[in-house]
Formats: sequence, structure tokens, C-alpha cells
Amino acid sequence: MVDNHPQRAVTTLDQAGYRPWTGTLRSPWWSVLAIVRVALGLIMRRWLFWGLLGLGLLNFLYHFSFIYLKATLVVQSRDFARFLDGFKLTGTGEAYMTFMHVQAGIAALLLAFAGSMLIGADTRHGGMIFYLSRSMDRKHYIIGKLLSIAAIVSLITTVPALILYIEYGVLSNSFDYFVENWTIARGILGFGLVLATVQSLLLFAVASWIPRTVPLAMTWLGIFVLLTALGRALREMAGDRRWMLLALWEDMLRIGHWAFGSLPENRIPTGTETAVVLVGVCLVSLALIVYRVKAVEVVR
Amino acid sequence: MTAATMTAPVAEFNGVTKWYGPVIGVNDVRVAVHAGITGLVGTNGAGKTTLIKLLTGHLHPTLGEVRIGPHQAWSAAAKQRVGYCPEVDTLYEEMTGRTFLITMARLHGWTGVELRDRVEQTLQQVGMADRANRRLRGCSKGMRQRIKLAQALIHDPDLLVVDEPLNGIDPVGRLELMDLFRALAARGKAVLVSSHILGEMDAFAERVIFMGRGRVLAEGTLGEIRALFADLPLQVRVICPQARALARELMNCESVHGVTITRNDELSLQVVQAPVLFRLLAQLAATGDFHVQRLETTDVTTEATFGYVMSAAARF
Amino acid sequence: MSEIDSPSTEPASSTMRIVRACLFLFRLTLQRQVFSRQTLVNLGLTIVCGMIVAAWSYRGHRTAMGFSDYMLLPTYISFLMPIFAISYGSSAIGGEREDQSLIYLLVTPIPRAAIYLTKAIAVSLLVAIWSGSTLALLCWLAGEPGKTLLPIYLPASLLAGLMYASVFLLLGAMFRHGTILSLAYWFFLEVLLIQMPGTVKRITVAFYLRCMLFDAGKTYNLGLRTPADVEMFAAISGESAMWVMICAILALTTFGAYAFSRREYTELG
Repeated sequence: MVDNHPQRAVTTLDQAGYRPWTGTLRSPWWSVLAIVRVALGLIMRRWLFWGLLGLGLLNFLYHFSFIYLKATLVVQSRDFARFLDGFKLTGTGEAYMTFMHVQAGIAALLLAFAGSMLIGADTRHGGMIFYLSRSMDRKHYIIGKLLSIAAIVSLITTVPALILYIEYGVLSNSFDYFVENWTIARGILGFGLVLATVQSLLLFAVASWIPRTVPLAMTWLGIFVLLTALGRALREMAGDRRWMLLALWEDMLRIGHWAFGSLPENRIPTGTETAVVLVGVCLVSLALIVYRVKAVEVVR
Repeated sequence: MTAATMTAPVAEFNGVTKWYGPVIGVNDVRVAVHAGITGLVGTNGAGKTTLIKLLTGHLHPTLGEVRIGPHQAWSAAAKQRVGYCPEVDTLYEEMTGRTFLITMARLHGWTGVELRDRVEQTLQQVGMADRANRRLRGCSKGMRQRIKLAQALIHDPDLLVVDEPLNGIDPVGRLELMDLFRALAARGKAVLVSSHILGEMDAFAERVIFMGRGRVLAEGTLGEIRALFADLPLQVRVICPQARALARELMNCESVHGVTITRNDELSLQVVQAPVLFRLLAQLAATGDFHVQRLETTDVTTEATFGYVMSAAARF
Repeated sequence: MSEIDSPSTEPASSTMRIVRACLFLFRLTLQRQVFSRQTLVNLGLTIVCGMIVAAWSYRGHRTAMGFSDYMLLPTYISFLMPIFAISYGSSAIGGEREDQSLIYLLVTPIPRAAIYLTKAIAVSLLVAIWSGSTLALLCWLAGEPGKTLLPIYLPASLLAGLMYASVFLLLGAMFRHGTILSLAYWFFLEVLLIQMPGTVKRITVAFYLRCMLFDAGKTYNLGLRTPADVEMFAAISGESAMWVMICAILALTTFGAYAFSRREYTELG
């Protein structure tokens, strides 16, 4: 349609198409937060993922209620409290470790399903180009995606465990629980950090090379399930417990025990050996990620 | 009634309504597709895609029926008569253009020498014979578009349905595709083309279906549709060296609502009852005082007519 | 671009044409599935499992019962076999749907039910070959215990593989995110429910597979050593389990063919 007012037409044309942003741009590091927010939004929008999140929430509520029940019963009957202590369901490092272990399983399963959507779609459908065409660098993209996965893992494992720890402490008669059990807080944060770091790097590496849902889920589950079985079989065969280092899932648990201070000393494989293996896995994953992301050319 | 409409329709929509849950896709559509090139035009959400999917048997009508010749569009028999070139840019990426076409021909039941001949013929038609051994993953958008078109033609269908065929095609390629559509139409095939590029629709569409809000707003040749808006002034351009003198004469004619001298030798007229103007111009030319070099209507185009149709639809 | 010529000759009768097209679709499905990333991953997982079994076979004391309990049940039956079925079953139609290439099958004159059935047969064949050959490989690597268990495991695992394949093919055809749903089904229904007491586990394939397996392996005391095991997996006989699986495969495939022929794929095109 032709505009009869030349002046207005020129103004309208000026507004059309792409034009540079004239305001002040914030640091590209802010884009990392945007990537995390988008990733969390993607997960929260799918009802299927809510099934898994709900499972984690159920486990959390069970523990939450149990701590509350125990605190209430302690006031009414000391004997009953001693009876409940026998179950070691709450309050101890071992209890938090078990809780986080179950939650970590749920998180790993969620990542198996969501990896293709979070990472794979970026390589398959050109999402990475969309991100990298913004005023951000590859490192911001990588860190953003890693933090997204880490946030999902932490929301299912570390955050609920910390809430339970605080709940247990504040339902006690004094704050001595926090002072006497500071190693539990260290354990929760340490184990949570290991779970988030290893899983985020590993998932990013696997999903950027195997972006489709089914092969990705197969590989992801295979890494944890089959490597554990292989480690056990080789340990039996060679009589050397160090073969268990192949089992990445068990390695993460071992580091968790280490952080909680419950890993027996001189037990092979040691915490240091396990840490070396996990750091190696993380470095290899990082190299694979960088190689893959660098391969995407973006014309600005 | 034009020659095209007098032949039996290749496809028919008889009171077709399609609901997607609470949303209506197309509403009581009654339209026929005849041999020749038919353009399908409408804004986003007008129901073009639903119409195409119903025609190609991807959707069931909620009410009414879609027929391809004697068959229901959904039936397998109807698929033999329809070729569909979808808008989506997906192919069997691991294959070459030629193997993809061979695959599609085999899926239509062709084998042996006939298959090879048919594949080569079709590749020739779409201008891909010399480039068909490239892997589809590495092909340009234009090449992929041609291969998609080739798969729709591979079984020599009576009706070719093409969704946005000119996307990603260079200007030379566009002309070639238009020639191809014309050649198909000349062979008595029906070609239904959905496109947003209205300017190019003028160049090849013999008939146009205008859609809006799930309904067929108008259908026919551009002239037939434009004639529906007789109360709207027609834009006429006249090239004549005596433009100013001619403008003076035309101002006396009641059918002429407005005259603009756009150049020294060019007038732009707004006319109601165009035949009256044309008779007057013939008389003036016969006097020998005015040398009318060119006379044309400027708003019997798809774009202009689409504007009229949409404005009329907005009043209801 | 050249002028258009009519096709020189028409192919044979309509029925013959459809039969030919179906045969080609069968070949195409096999070809596209075999040369896919899933096959590479399957191969990788099979090699890892082979290594596990090879390592196990170095033990001094090896029994058929041990091989069944520590190797075949956890790695092959619970993990590899469903994974094979998911990788080929859910991607046969679900994968094409995700890629939007399904549209090229739906524009052909092959009746939709025939498309589904052809795909079902191709996928079943592929899953059967993968499951059977992997089982044979693992049993061969295990030595004597493997030889003993192969005839016991083979019929049950082939039948269960086919049933998994028909479930996943159906899920892929019916739901937009069929592949994710298949994985979720496998984990929630198959892995979790099978460990639960009561009759709830009877909706799982794994239950009928174990019933058939343990019934056939009674001589070697496979799986049914405690009263709890008997309670869990001896509720129905091996023969009944076999018929349930055969009927389920037929019912799922028939329903799938019907549903696929009625389904509107609005996202395609």
C-alpha cells in the first residue's frame, strides 16, 4: 500500500528492518542467566518432566514430614524419639547422602529425557547459531548451558537436601545441631557440586555429539548402568578394586561419601583416585564441548 | 463462465468444515479446483494450510467432504492423483536428489526401466538433472525446493498442490518454475499454488481463491473477482502525448471520478462503469486528436484485488 | 527446464503397485534404521556388555544360575533388549514424525494401515535379529553356562523383544513426543512396576518375560529361589505368558494399524 504522505513514509521505512541498538548493552555475562532461565522454562513446560520432578518432590515431602513428625514426637515422648533414631532416616550424614543419591537418580533420568531438548536441539536445529548471533561469546553459551544443567541437578538434589538440613536444625531445641554437624552441610554442598559438575559436563558433551533423543538416552543410561556392571565384572576378574573407577555413578557417590566424611580411609579406590578420574572425565567432556561449539560458524 | 470452469473439477470441497478442538480451521468451504493454475491467497491463519492439508488427505473434514475425482481425499486411491510439495524444508537428508526421487517413485509402485525414465524426465522438468547426485544435506534451498517439487511430480498427478513454491528460489528459477506450472496446466493438469508473493501470482495464476477467517472469500479469475466490486472505482492508466487535453475531455464524463496527471504523457483515472469510459476513449481516439498509446487497469492485480476482498470481508 | 512428457508406460495393476511399494518401504525402513546413529549406539552398548560377560567368564566357578542372575537378567533382559526395541520401535514412525519426513510416506498411495504394518514387520525383524544375535554372542562369550541358557532365554527374549517393539512403535505413531514417552514408559512401568508386589506388574512386558523364562528354566532353578520370587513370577505358567505376549503383539499391531490409518498429523507439512 502506498503512503500518500512522503514524510511519514520515510519515517516508517526508517523503522523497518534491523538497526543497531543505541542503548547501553549490559555485560554478556548476563546472557548466561537468560540461558538458564530459558532452559528451566523448557523443563517446566513439559508435563512429562513434571512426572519426574513430582517423584523427587514426593521423596522430599516424605523426608520433610518425617523430620516434622519426629520433632513433634520428641516433645511428647523421649522413648519414641530414641526408637525413631534407630532408623537413621533423618539428621545424620548417611541419611542426607541416601536422600541425595535417590534424588540424583531422578535427576539423571530427567537429563536423559531432556538432554536432547536442552542441548541436542541447539546442534540439530540451529539453536546454537541463534544464541551465538547475539552479543555473546561461545564461552557464555557454554557456561550458560552448563549452569542450566547444573541448576536442574541442584534443584532436585542439593536444594531439597539443604532445606531438610535446615528444617532438622530449626526444629531442634537449640542451634547446636548446626555447630555439631557442620560436616553435613559441607557434605551436601560437596556432593551436590560433584553431581552438578560431572553431570552437566558429561551431558553437554554427549548431547552435543549425539543430539537425538533415543541414542542420547541410550548412551546416557549406558554410561551409568553398563559402566558400573563392567567395572564390577572387571574387579571380579582381576581382583583389583580399582576397576570400580570405571563406574562413574559409583565414583560420584564415593566423592559424596568423601565430602560427608564417611569414606573409609585406605579403602581402594581412594577419594583422591576417584577425584582424579572424575576430573579427567570432566576435562575430556569439556574438550569435546569446546570442539563441537567451535565448529559452528557465526557471521555477525 | 470460463473454459476452465466448464470442465469437470479435479478436486471439490463440498461444505467442508474443519475444527481443531475449539478452533475452526476452515468453515463451510465450497470450492472446486479445475484444470489450470489456481492461486490460493490469504493472510496468516486464513485457513490456507488447512485447506491444503484437507486436499492432500492429511486431515479429515469435520463436516462435508473433499473429493479428488471420484475418491475421498483421505483415501489411498486419491493420493495417486495428487502430488504435494510441502512448505516444510525436510527431505531424507542422507540421500542424494536422485536416490530420493527413485525412493519416492518406488513408493508409488514404479520399477525397472519405467522408473528410471520417469525419474530422469522429472529431474529434467525441474532443472536438476545435472545436479541430482549431490547429497540433499548439502544442497541449497533452491535445489531442495526443486527436488521437493520433483517428488510431487514423479507419479504424474492430475492435481499438483504446491505450498510456497517460490521461497528460496532465485529470480531465474522462479521464471522456470512458473513456466513449468504453465506447461503442466497446458497439459490439462490442475495446479494449486499457495503463495505469499502476490505479485508473482498475477504472472501465472489463471484463477485465484481468496481466503480469510477460515472461509473462501472470493474465487474466480481476477477480472471476475474485481467485477464484484463494481461500486469501487477502477484505477485506469492511460498513456497519451496529449495528456492534459485528454484530462479536460475526460472530466466531463460522469463515470470518471478522478483524474491525475502523473507524467506529461500519462494519466491516472479513477473510474466507475469502466465500459462507458472505454467507449468514450474510443470515440476520442477516432477523432484523431488524441493518440492513445496504452490503456490498462492497474488494480486488477492479485494484490489490489486481495486488498478489496479483505476490506469487504472486514465489513461483515 | 524441459517441456513435460507423459510417462511412457503405467505400472501394472493397482494392487501389484501397492505390493511393490510396500516391499520397497520394508527395504527402505530396514536400510534407514540400520544405517542410523541408533545402530552405532546399540553396537557400542553390545560391545560393552560383551566385555562385561567376557570379564565374568574368567571367574573360576561359573554356573548357569550365576550367569542368569548376574549377567543376563540385569544387563541383557533389563537393559539391552528394551533399549534395542526403543531405538528401532519408537524411531520407525516417531523419528520420521520428529524429522517431518513422515509426510513423504503419507503422500504415497500406500494405504496407511499397510504403511504401519510394513514398518511393524521391518522393526520386528530388526529387533529380533539384534536381540537374538546379541543373546547368542553373550552366551558364546560366557562359555558352558551360556550354551545351557541360550535355548531357555531365546524364545522368551525374542517374544518380549517383539512385544516391546510393538508397544514402542505404537507410542511413536500415536504421540508427538513418542520417543520420550517410550523411554518414560520403559522406566516407570517396566523397571519400577516389575519390582512391586501384587498384580500391578501384570501390565508390564517384563513380568510375562520373566514368567516364561523362569518356567522354562525351572530345571536350573532360575530366578525362583525364594518364596517371594515364586509369589512374584510363578503366578502364571510359561505357556500362558507366551500366549499373552503373542496376543498382545497381535492386538497392539492391529490397533496401531487402525489408529495410524485414522490419525491426523497436523504438524506435518
